[in-house]
Amino acid sequence: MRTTDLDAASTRLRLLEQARARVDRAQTVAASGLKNVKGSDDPAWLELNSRTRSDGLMNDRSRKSLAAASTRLEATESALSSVSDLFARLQEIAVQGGTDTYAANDRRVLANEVRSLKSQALAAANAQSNGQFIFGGFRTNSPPFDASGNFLGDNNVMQVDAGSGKTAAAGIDSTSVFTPAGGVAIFSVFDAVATALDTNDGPAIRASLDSVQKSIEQVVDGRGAVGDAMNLVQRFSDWLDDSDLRLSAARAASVDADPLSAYTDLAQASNALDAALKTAAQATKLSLIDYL
Amino acid sequence: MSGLSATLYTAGAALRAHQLGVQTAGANVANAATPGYSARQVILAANPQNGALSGVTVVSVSRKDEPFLRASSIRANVQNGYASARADLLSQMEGVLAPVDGSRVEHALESFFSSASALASDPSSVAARQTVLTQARAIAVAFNSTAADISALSSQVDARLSSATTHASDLARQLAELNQRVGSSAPSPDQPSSLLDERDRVAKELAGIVGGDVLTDKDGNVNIIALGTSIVAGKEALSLSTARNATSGKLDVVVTGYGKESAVVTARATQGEIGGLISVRDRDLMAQTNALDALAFDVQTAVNGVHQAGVGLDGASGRALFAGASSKAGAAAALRVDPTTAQSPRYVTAASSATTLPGDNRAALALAALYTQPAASSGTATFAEAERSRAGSVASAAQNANTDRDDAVAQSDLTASLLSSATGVSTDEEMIQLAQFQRAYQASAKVIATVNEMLDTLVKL
Repeated sequence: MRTTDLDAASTRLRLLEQARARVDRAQTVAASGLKNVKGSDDPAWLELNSRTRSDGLMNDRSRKSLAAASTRLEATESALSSVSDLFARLQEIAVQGGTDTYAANDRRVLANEVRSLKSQALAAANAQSNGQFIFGGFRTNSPPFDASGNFLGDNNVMQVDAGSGKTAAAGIDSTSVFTPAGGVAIFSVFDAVATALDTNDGPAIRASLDSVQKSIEQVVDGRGAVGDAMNLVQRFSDWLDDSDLRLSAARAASVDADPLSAYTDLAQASNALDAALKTAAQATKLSLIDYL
Repeated sequence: MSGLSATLYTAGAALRAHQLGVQTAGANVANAATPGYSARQVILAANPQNGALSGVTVVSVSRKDEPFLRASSIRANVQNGYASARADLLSQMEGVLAPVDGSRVEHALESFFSSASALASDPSSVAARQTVLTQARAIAVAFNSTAADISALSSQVDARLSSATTHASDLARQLAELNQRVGSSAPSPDQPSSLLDERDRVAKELAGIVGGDVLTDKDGNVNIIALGTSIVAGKEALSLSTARNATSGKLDVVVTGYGKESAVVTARATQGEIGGLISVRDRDLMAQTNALDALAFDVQTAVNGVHQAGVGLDGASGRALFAGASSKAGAAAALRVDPTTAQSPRYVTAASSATTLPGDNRAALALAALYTQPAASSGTATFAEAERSRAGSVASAAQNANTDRDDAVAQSDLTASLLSSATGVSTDEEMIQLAQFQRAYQASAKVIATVNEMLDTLVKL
């Protein structure tokens, strides 16, 4: 085919532009770490890039919620653990004070200790996490128990966002632990034991052991519920970790550029541009004019 | 005529012919880099008047032409004009409306629903409510600015449309004038080659803008049928302009006839640069506007539904979080935070009942859960999916446009290359022609010198 000067110049220009565009693209891919430069390179890739990035962010968001729930549940467990220890001591006192060898004065001393235990138990039941009372249900801004042990909260359980439309409990229904809704009003058990000790009423002291035991079981059940909730939070956290791993794998496979390929492509594109420049310069020099 | 005088006459004619050959090669070399220039060639023939010892005569200085390839090149330019206009604009659209790292709307939605999730973890917090309010404003700004971007792109298309129609109108007038000049140029052995070159160039450029067909009539006029009418018919040309459509607010393409009657031909502009511009504006940008408005309205409706059912820290319910359009049309541009709710973060709802304040987080949870629910696109997609679908449609359209442009450019380059190969200037070829004519000129001069010597000899007898 006859080649004209304009056509030859146009071809050289086109080849140079293509070679330079290839270098630009390879450079951008190597620098960004992404497989493509723009969405029109592969619209499906754009969607995958966006979705995996967004899913990762949503996992982070859920992880924060679960961390807050975990902190609240740990505070709950800590408080119930204290209450549990206090009831263990109450049980010891009831057993000890229930023996007929104990004199009235000794029982009064024990009664004072029981009142102290109740005060400590109330403090534990009015525990806070992040400035919120954890046993008041949705009434988080005021102590759920008054000085007598009367419950002022509700039986709601706060849930947190666990991702993918699921929720996880960040607490327990405290009415089942502390109030008759669970079987025994546990703070009144302290009162019953203290009164029996004060009045030197051996049979009443021994009779209170049953309520003490039921209270202990209620607290144990409450701790079990906290454990279940913590396990659920942990399972959701593990699921988020697995999800992150899957997202990382998906990004590595389909979204991110392979570093080796990226740098190889850049080197090849640079070489191709170098060759295109040299051949263009060489071709420009060749003319019959120089030989006539 | 015979003998030495005839030889002198023959040599003289040859000198003139070869001089013209050198002159033609010189003109070709001079225009080797001129776009649209067709090489000239001297057509020589043996002079039949001299019998067996014929001299040379210049039949014509013709312009190389390949009508089929020229027509192919024009058709390719029509396609190129359309595809390039679309690819250029969609590439810009892609950068603004479908960035690789996610759109503004997508980021704003993520941040807003994350803030709702954070509020659910700390429902009594005023600071967490303030964050929700701030992120709600960010959503409104993201929708507003994206709608403004689409509007700006549409204005840019209109500006290009205006410029293209003005240019096309100039070209149409030039083409009509060239038809007239070509038709009225004095007959000569040479064709009015420069005028033909210019006319072909103008016709190709005009067709690239308005599309249509380029036809040559029986009188040799180059006519252009496009936009459903004869833009150029012989020595007459229609005027092209733009006018603002009172209903849509966009520019229409208007042609004004020879008798000054005007017609809107926007719907007929389906080819060339003008067709490409209008297709992007009325199809792609319109689809983006509709998708963005639909999503904005869905966000507004769904979020308000949850927010109005909830209770603020002040115990009041029924407040909307977003205000804006009452229908999908214009919802993205109109979206804003409800002025009442914006007065205090305490008005942001997290609880579902006034009796369970402040630890009740059920409304905040419901708000956060909206992000994973199919609350957009008539309940078939989540907000994020709808937004990704919108961005993906830009990317797909840009991908198709790039492919079409690459194909059109390749076809245009191929036909231009074939036409250039057939009609363009090769300096190597011209150098050989130059040397050939130079040698022939020298040889003819030698003949004259020889005859002259012979005549001298004869005179001295």
